[in-house]
Amino acid sequence: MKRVLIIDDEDDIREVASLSLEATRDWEILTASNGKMGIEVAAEQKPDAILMDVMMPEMDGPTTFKHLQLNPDTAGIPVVLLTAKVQGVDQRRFAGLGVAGILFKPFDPLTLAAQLANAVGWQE
Amino acid sequence: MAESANKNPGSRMAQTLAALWQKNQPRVLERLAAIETAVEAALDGTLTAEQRSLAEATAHKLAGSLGMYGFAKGTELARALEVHLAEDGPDPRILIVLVSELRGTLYPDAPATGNATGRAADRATDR
Repeated sequence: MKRVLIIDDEDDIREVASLSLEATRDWEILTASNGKMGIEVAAEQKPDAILMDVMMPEMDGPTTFKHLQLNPDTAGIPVVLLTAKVQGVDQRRFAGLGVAGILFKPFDPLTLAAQLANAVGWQE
Repeated sequence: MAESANKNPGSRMAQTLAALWQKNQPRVLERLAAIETAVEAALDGTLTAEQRSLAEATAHKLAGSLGMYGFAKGTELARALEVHLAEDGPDPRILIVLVSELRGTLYPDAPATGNATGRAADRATDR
């Protein structure tokens, strides 16, 4: 069973994304409400993938990603960014970070798992 | 009915999303009101950079979540608000149209009278 960590400061996004991934793929879902907590959970639980919001207070997604990359225990975990920023300049900036993929908010709860699996290269 | 819903992830998802939408109403209304207050301030010419930035961030959050609940038009309007609020000196006439449409899209049966959109619309009409 795949384990996915969702890091997002928005309660409803975490709830809907968790529901979506659990209901459509039966994956185990871990959650964190901020970047710092996400780094801790990732290091302790070593999930198979991380789905992370970009705009979060205190530590944003790109900064959290850099911290994850610095830790050998978490550097190999594929990270997919989740963003409501739709402008091309933002997308290029995020892609340049070296993340596994970028998904856009609002997401379709019925297809989120397929998009995530595709981004990290999991065979469906 | 319940049994068939449990066998169908789409149906179960729709039911749960509807419940989550209801649960999150206070937050959605609070965010809508925060944008309306900023629009009122823009109409009055008293919108500060901090208020504008907060309203922009609030519109961004709505844009990122409304479509998830099936409100694609709501996301579109919130995104347009976000774009306009990102500008220095956003046009209040555009903002009031967008925020009024947003409230009407989310709450088509609720009159705008009495809330900030209603007040702002009245004020825009009076100008």
